[in-house]
Formats: sequence, C-alpha cells, structure tokens
Amino acid sequence: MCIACELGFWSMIDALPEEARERILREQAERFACEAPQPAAPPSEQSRKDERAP
Amino acid sequence: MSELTALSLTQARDGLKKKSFSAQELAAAHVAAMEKARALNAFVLETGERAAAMAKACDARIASGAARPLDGIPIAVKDMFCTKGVRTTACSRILDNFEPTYDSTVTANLWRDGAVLLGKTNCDEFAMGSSNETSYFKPVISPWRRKGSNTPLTPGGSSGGSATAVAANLCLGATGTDTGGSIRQPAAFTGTVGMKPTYGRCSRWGIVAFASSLDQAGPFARSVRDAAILLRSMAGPDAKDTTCADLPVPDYEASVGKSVKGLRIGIPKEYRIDGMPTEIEKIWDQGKAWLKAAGAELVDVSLPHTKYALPAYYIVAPAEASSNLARYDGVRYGLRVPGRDITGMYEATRAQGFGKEVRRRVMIGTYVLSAGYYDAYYLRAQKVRTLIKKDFEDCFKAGVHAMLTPATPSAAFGLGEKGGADPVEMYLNDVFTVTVNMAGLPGIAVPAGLDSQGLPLGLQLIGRPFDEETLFALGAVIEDAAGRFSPERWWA
Repeated sequence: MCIACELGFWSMIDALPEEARERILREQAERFACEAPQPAAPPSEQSRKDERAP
Repeated sequence: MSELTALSLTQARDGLKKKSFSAQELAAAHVAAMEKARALNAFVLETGERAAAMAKACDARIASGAARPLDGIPIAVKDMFCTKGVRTTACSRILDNFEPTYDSTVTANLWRDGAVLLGKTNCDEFAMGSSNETSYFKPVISPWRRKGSNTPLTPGGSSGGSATAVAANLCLGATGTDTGGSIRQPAAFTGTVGMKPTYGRCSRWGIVAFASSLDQAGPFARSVRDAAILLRSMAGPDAKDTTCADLPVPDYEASVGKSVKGLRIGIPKEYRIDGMPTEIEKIWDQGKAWLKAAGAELVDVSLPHTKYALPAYYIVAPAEASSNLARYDGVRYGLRVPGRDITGMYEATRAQGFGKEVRRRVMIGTYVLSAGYYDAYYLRAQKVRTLIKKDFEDCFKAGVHAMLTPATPSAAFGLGEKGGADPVEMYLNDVFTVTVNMAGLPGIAVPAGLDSQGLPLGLQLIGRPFDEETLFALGAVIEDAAGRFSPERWWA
C-alpha cells in the first residue's frame, strides 16, 4: 500500500463505528506485518494440571 | 420518443417495470438525444451500439421476471472509470486510446444491477480542474446560459461532462469522482444533485487515481431519490480495495422523505467569506429556513481551521498526484513519444502527454515531497488535515447531525473567465468543498434556486461519516421546497 492509500485506509478505519473498526482491523491485521495476530498461546501449566485424565 | 428522456430515473424504472416502454426504446431515445447535443461536448465517447445490446439483455431479464434494480437505466460514466473494452483516457493525451481489460468495481456494480452504458463523459484532465477547461478533448459547454446571453458557460469540474449529460436529459444518471469538489461543484453549477459519499463507501479500484487519500466516486442525478438509487448500486465492500469499508450498504432510497424533525444542523460561521455574493448568502438563509420549517434545529458552529483547508489541500493533492502519475512513462499505457534514449522517451512522452495544469501539479507535488521541503509542506499539510478533521469531529460529538453550507462561492462563470493568469483564482472555487474531502466525510449538493441571471445555485450538506442517509433525507427537504431546475434547450 502506498502512503496515500495508507492515509486513506486509516481515515476510513477512524470513521467506522467501533464494532466495525475492531472487526475490520482483526480481519485485516495479517496484511500488516507490524500488526500480525499473535499465534494462540499454548495452554498454561495450571490449565494442563486441571485437565482430567481420560 | 423525446418524452422518455425527460423521465426521472425513478419514473423510468417504474415505466420499465410496468412495460410502458422497453429498455431498448429508452436507450434509443437517449442515444438520439446525445447525438443532437454534441455541441455541449459532454461525451468523449458514445457507445450507442453497446447501449442497444445491453438494453436488449435488460429487456430479456425484465420479460423473464428477473429484473435487477437498475435494469434498462441508461447512464453515463466519467472517463476516469475503467470500462472493459471501452476507451478510458481520463481526458488526457497520455492515455491516448487506452482500452482497459477490466471494469472498475463501481462500473461493474452498475452493470451487475442492469444499468446501460451510453458513453464516457468529458472531464478535466485526470480530474484536475474546476471548469472542464483542462480536458484534452476541449471543454464541456454548460446547457445553462445567462438570461439574454449566448456566452458559453462552464458546467464546473472536474465532472462537468457527467453533470451536463444529466442536466441536459442525455442520460438518467451519471458517475463522477470527487477529490476536492468535482461532483458537488458541477452539480451546483448545473442544477443537478451530486453526492460525494464517505471516503471508503465506494471502491476506488479501477478508477484512474488522482489523489488516493481523497478520491471518492459518487452519483449525479436529477433528483435526490435518483441519486440515492444510484449510490446503492455503486457502493459496497470490495476486497480489491483495502480502503473500501466492509460495511453493509443501506437502502438509501428509504431515507428520502424521512422526517428530519429534531435533527441538529450546524451552520459553520467560517463559510461566510469576504466578497461572497449576496445571492449565495440569500440562498443559504433560505436553506436554513426550509430545514427549520421541516423541524430541524439550527445550531451555530465553528470550524476554525477551515481557512487552512484550501492551501493544505493544494499541497496534499498535488503530492499524491505526482506519485500516482509517475506510472505514465510511455512504456505501459497510451501515448509514447520517441526520444534519443529511454530517458528522452520518458521526458518527451510526459511533456507532450500531460497538459499544462497536470504538469503544474506534478511539479508542485514533486517539490513539496522533495528532501528538505517535505516537513515544511507535506507533513505540515497533513497536520492541518488532522485539525480540520477534528473540527468536524468536535461538532458531531456535540450532537450536530449534519451541516449546511453553500456549495460554491458563485454561480457558473464563463469559459476562459477565470484562472488564465492566476491558477489560484480557479482553485478558490473549491473553498467550500475541499474540507469535506480532507476530513473524508460525505457531502451532497442540492439545487436550491436560481440567481438573478437565471443560473442555478446549490447548497451543500455535510454529514457524519458513513451517514449518507441523513444527507438524502435533508437533501429531499431542500429539493421539495426549492423545486427542480432545468436549462432551456438551445443546443438542438
């Protein structure tokens, strides 16, 4: 994306209702390397202990 | 069949549905009107045969009961929109005979809904201008004339061809693009309705880029309802344009005729400028009275950074234009003028391919982006832009639903009357419209009356982001009170 389009993009995002803004940013986050979504965290030690044995 | 061209888009849609006439008859009537109106120079390309073929397909769908929302509606498309297999030049020599292999998303949406292409309309070169005089294809002549005068007038710009085609009954609606007022100013000059939606409402994919953070597509029509119908088809999410909002498109037509009772309308004091003609003041006061009578509440507001909008715009827009137009080098598109070597070819192509105003803006843009000047000009202009945006946000947060302003500082002027010696004289035309682009907001121009010389004057309504519906509701109130205005036919 060029700088002008990026300016336009953030202007569009700023103008959105909050719910739509969050949804679009979440959906498009992977397009922005600096905002890549974090991989799902592995279950913590505690939650593993809490798991019942089969 | 001339009475068919006098129908509104809504009436034509209803007539087609009732089978009072066919889409082919409607298209043929408009093609005939276009041929008789060549003196206006509104079209740079007429696509009569294509229109007939498209209309035939529409008739088949209507007959089978599978009609689409715009089936059989003949429209004109500004030459800034790429149209598959149909020459698209942005009215520049540099795109000489360029035939896109794809459609812009906006035009594709219109064809999906059944609209019929009558032709491509004239505009300022790369949409850079306010009078249509920078077009490579010579200017459009307004269908309006001053009382008792034959002086050719400008229809405004840059979308002057689209505005003229709509005003002169050559089509039922048209597309335009608006970077600093290029839909609203020609709409005001020709007595038509022109809507610039929120930045991000319509996809920019396939529209020849001028200033990417400001450009937005929108409709021209002879009524607010017709504009609402067209925008519904034009707008919508597009995966091909990241700056296009993934929001559902409302049924804009449903907002026409809705009550405006209780809406708070801001009247920005900064739009009362020195030297503004009394008639513009009067029409503005009249607009306020109409909205008040319809139950809206008028509130005085202040947009303190308005005075910086025009200078900031004329830094941001040329900067983005200089970057966007770098691609026209004689290698990939249109015109190629041979040179001694490749650099010579680039230079000759760009020097001969671009007109004077485009060259001026490319040079301004290159200058303000150059090392050492970037912070002083471009960066500062972007900061001003943020302040302009904040002015509007503060008003909306205070409960204002929309604002009412004049659309232009004057009525249409004569071709050649402005900007000859000083381009700033021409740039001042955009004084009421550029703020809306800088803030990314929706704006609509609605005809509100005629001046003492019999020329149309328009009012502008500015809305909250993505709230075009309120503008259509308010615009309809002004339209109902003011009536509609048509030029006296002199061209055929």
